[in-house]
Amino acid sequence: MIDAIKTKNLRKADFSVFSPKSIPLWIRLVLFVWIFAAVFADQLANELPLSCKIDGKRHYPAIAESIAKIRGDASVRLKYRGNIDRMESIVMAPIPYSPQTIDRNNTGFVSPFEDQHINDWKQRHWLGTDRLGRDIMAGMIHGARVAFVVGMLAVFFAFIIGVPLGAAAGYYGDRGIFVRGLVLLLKTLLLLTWLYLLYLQLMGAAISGLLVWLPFLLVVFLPFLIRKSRLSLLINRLPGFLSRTFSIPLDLILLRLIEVFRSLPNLFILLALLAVFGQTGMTTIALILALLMWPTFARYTRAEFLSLREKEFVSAARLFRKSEFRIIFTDILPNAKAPLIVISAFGISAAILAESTLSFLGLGLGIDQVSWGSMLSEARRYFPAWWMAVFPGFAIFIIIYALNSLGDRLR
Amino acid sequence: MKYYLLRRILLFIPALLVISLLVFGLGQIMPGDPVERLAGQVEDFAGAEQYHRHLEQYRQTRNQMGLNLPVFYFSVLPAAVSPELREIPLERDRERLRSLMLEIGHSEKIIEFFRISLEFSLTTAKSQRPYCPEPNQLNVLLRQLQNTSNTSDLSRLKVLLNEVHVSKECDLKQQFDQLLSSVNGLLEIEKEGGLLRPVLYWNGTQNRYHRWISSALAGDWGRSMRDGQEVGKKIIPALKYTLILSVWSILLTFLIGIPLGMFLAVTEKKQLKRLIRNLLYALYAMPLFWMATMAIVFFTTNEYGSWTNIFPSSTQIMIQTTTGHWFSFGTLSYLLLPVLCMAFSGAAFVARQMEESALREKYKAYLSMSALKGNSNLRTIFKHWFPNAIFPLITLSAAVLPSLISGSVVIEVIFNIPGMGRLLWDSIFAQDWNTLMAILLLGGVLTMFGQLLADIFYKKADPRVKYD
Repeated sequence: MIDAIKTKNLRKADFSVFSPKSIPLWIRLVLFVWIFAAVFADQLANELPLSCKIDGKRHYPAIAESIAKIRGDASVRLKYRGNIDRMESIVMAPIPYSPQTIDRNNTGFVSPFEDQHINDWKQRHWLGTDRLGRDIMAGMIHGARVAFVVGMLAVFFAFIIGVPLGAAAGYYGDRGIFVRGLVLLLKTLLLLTWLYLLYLQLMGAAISGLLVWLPFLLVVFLPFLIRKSRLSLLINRLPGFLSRTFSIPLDLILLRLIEVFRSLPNLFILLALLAVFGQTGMTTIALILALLMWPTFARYTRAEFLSLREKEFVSAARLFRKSEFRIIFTDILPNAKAPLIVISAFGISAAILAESTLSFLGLGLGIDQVSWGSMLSEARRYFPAWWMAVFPGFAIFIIIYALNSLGDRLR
Repeated sequence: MKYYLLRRILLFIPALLVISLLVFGLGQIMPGDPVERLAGQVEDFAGAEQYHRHLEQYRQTRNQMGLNLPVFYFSVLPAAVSPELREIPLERDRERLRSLMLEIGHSEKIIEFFRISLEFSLTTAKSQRPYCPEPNQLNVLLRQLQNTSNTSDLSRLKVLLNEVHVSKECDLKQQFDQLLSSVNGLLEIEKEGGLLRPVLYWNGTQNRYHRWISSALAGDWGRSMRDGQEVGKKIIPALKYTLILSVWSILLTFLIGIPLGMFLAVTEKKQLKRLIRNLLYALYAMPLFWMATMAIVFFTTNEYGSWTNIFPSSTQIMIQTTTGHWFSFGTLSYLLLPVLCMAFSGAAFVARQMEESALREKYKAYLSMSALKGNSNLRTIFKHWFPNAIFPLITLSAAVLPSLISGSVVIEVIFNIPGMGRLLWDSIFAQDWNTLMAILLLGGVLTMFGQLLADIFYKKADPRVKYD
């Protein structure tokens, strides 16, 4: 009987809605090509060979570069470039250019159709070059990676912020969490102490990092400590406000917070934050985007939890004395994932659009990062170079189109 | 309704406060030193006299800008740090003195030490006679003086001071002795206890936020840090161009979007419906900046044959909008391409919303009733269906007002239109925070105002909506 109540069956049923077969072929194809290009960007377009022999020993520079990038090591490229004339039996990547590679023979916007100064058809710039002679195709492939990472990270961060907040607000409502006056007081004081210590650290006072985070840890573990030490019996005897029970209006707080975020001029805040941070990496951009996107996730999660918490399977789980944490994350959340997947799809497309718009305006990623948006902004400088306007823009368009259609289909 | 309106307006005030705090906070953490822009950099390596002249200029500018005032109505500082530290002009001096204070306390003595050391370097610089100590030695000493940020620096300073030989006839003798005694005092003094204890200071209305917000409310937004022009005088003409751009594009958006959406809901022609729907969907997914770039690349130049050169180029737009009468038909014709770009991209969204909401009403009983009564199709559609279907679109109008202001940053940048979006973009690149803060505040207020208006319209349009 327990098995029947467990949510496993429900989870299976849920997935059938999202089976890949129900998604049109073209969407699957677009997403596959995009993700493939993003993952294997270094192997698809690289000035370093995929494989070569140096002094009789076989090396795999393009793959080594990928691995080194994950470790944050930038020296591999330089190391192999120094050895370029000693390489034998070279196997080049399909596009033998990195996005930063400057082809000195083909500078100044070379069209994909005109005669290019190349030795071999393999070196052809299939989508032309830009002003400095960089290959557009290579930029497109590496731009796919930027779009992928920013889109995924932004949604991931928004998910981490929004879903727990929405889940807590929806599950507990306004009268679900009760706190004694003393605990409330202690927690407030500890949080203030924590903030003050952070402030001191920022000022340059010599305090150890552990001490700074101690109040925060105490806040988290305070209920646990009180329960273990049976302090609650003592608290009951305290006079007045200290022993009174207060309910925390989680739902109200979250709704107000969402309202505040809704009333902010998003674009302005985005631009202002970027002005503060200057040109940054993909993680910072994703974080800023997540800051603007989390209310959507919180709102949907809250709505789902609000209706699901009344369902029988939740009462059953409570009957079996499951902890509330487990009820929230293993029982309700899997059942609430359908709308979350849908808004994730829309969220990724929104993040990609935002990132490319910012890069287009010159406010996004640093100059060394090739993004579809930054490639497009080059097109404004030289109108005859239609290939610089058409291809990166089309890539953004088709990805957003596919993701939106996917989201719509799943809805 | 009246009660609701009152409550909304009352809620408006705290929201405004939050927005203003947020904008102000952003303005405070913006990178770059605004004083340096106006007063020039105070460089260490310039001659000592010049350094002091620069420093004085810097201090005056800083005080004029009110940067010696506290940031907010109250401030919390560790007991070690004295609030007087704000009066010290240079950030690097403040930082090193603060760390010295956090180490040993006795903030008034440290400030005294700073005053003496400044005087010392000034008098040594001004002294017309040949230096009593060797210039090299003095330079080392001064350098050390400027970099003292903890007690080990202080003891090094003491060693240096003792090494310097100053004869009795030297007129700097007094300064040397004063500095040495001050350093000795700091080194010998006992470390104060409870240095990190927080102390709350009440600053009254003499603070930066109060100054900024009260002058902003009075219409004085400060001066642009880029060209010294008044921010208000920059914003108003920009507002004009954005307004004309936005009004036309919003009008066009709804004029295209609503009939199209309604048509999609009404028509029974499956093929046509699918075609239009797919087109709209594609248009909706099309990034505005791509559309605009393509338009400007293909339709404003002769590069692709003279027949594609339909619209005026963006430089012409710039000239026309800045010289021509802003509401004249001529200006309008120049703005046609940007307006079309904005309208197309918005219309796809509006049409989708319209269709969705119309489809929701399509099989409701009141429509069948109207048909049964013998009303004509057109009458059913326009008299009964449309008014009910249009109603959810009112919330969309909330987004209209802020977009009126922000225009479209992208469009204005691409087409070189000197509107608000362009101003925002320019001021970010020029680190012109005064202008930026003004635009941000304006944008925030208008966003909230738009939402309020939308709620009121919503209520007006549908008497069923109740607000308690």
